[in-house]
Amino acid sequence: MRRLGFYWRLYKAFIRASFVREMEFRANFWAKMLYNALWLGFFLATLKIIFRHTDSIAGWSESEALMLAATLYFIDALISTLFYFGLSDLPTLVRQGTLDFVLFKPVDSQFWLSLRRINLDQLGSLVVAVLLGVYALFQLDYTPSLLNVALYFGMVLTGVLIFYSFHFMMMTLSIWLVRVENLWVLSDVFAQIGRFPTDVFDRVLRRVFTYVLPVAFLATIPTQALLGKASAGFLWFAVAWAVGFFVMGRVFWKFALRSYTSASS
Amino acid sequence: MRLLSKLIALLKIYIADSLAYRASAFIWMLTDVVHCLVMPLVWLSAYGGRETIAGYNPGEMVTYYVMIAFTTNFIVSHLMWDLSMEIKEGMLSQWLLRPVPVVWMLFARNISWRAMRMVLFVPVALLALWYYSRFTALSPLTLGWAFWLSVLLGHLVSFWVAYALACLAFWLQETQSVFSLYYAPMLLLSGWVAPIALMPGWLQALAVVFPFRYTTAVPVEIAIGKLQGESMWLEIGLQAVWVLIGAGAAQILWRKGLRQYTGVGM
Repeated sequence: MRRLGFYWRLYKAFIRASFVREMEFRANFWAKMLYNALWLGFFLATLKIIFRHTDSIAGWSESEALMLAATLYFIDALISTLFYFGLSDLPTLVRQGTLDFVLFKPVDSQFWLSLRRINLDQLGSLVVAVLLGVYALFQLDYTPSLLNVALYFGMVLTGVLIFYSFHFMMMTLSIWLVRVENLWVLSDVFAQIGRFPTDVFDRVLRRVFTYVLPVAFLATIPTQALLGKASAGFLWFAVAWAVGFFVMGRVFWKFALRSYTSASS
Repeated sequence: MRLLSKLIALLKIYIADSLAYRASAFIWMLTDVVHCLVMPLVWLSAYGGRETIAGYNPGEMVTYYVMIAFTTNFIVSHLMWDLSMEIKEGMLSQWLLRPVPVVWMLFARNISWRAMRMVLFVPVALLALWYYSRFTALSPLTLGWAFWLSVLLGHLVSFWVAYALACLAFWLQETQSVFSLYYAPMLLLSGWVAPIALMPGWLQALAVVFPFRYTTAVPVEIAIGKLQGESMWLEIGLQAVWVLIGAGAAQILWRKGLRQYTGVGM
C-alpha cells in the first residue's frame, strides 16, 4: 500500500513537470492543436468521399462509420496524452545508452517509461472526439441504453490497454533494432488499420485482426457495443485479451532487458 | 563528362547508404501496404452490386490503389525533413565545400532511396494483385514508356517541391509543423486517398492548380487506362511544366537562402 502511495506521488510529479514543459513552448502548443484538428478533418474528408458514392460499407452507415472514427480518435488522443510520447523516447534512450539511468532508478522501469510525459496538447483532440461522437449519435437518432454506454467505455478502456501494450512492445524492439529509427510507424500502421470497420475484411483477415493483431478492439468492437450489436460473451473475451496483451507486453520487456547491452558504457 | 562520372559515383554511395537502412525502408513500406489493403476492401464493400462508381469498376479501383502505393514509393519525396535539419544544424557547410553542386547530391540521395523503396515494393504489389484477383477481375495495366516517363516526371515534380519546401529552413526556426501541414493537401490531391474523379467538384478543381496531381495521380491514371491519347500527352506536358516551375522556385529560394545561411555550429 505504501508502494502505491509512492507511485501516485511520483505520477503527480510527472504531471507537474509535463505542465511546466508545455507552458514553455506555448506557440508550439497551439500549432500542435491545429495540426491535430487538420488530421481529423483529413480523415473525415476521406469518409465523406467514400459516402458520396454509397450508403454503407460492409453494413456500416455513414453515421455509424463516423461513430467508429470518433471512437478511434478518442482512444488515439487518450493514448497520446498519457503514454505515447514517453514510450516513443525509448529507442533514443537505448541508442544513447541513457536507458541505464532509468534502470538504476528505484522505480519500475515500465512505469517510468510509460507515464513520464503527459502530453496536454491532445486534450483538444479529446474534446473534439467526444463532440464528434455525440454528433454521430444525433445523426443516427439513437439513444444508447445506460448498459450500452457502460459497455462502450469498458471497451474503450480495453482498446486503450491493447494499443498501449502494442506500442510498448514495438518500442521494446529497439533493444535489438538499435539503428531503426522509425519503429513508431508500426503503431501508426496498427491504428491505421482500425480506422475502418474490420467487417470490410474477408473472414481470414477478420480473424487475424481480432485474434492475432487485435485491431478490431480499437474501434470496431467498442462501437458495436455502443450500438448494441456486440454479444456479451465476446466482450468478456475482449477484457481477457486486453489483460493478456498487457501481460505479454510486460513479459516481453523483461525478456528484452536481458539482451540490453548499454550502448555507451 | 566529368560531371556524369561524379553523378555515378554519388549514386553508388547513396545506393549503398540506402541499403544500410533497409529495415527502416521495410517499416515505412508497411504504411503503403496497409493503405493498398484497406482502401480497396472498403470500396469493394461499397459497390453493393453496381457496376461502376464514378466510372471506376471494381477491378480498376483495386488496381488503382495498388499502383498508387507502388508509384508513391518511387515518386513522393520527403527530403525536406533531413535537408532542413542539415541546414539548421550547419551540416550543409561541408557539402558546400565539395566539388559537386549540392543539388546533385540531393538528387542522387533521393532517387537512390526511392528506387530501393520501389524495388522492395514489387513483391508486395504482386501479392496484392494476386489477393484481389480472387475477388474481382483486375484492370489490364498499360505500363508502356509513356507510363514510365510520367513516373519519372512525377518523381522530379515531387523532388523539386520538397526541395523548395526545405529551403524554408533558411528563414524559419520551426519548420516541422509547416511540413506536417503540407501532408494533408498533398495526400488528398495527389490521388493517394482516392481517385480524383471520385472527389467533389471543388476538390477536383483544386487538384488542377496544385502540383500534387502531377506527382502520382497522372502516372497511375495512365497505368489503368483512364488517361489515353491526346489527354494523356496533355497531362504529361503539364507534368513537365510543373517540373520547370518547381525547379525554378527551388533554385530561387535556394540562392536567396544561401545568402541568409550562417553555418551554425561551424
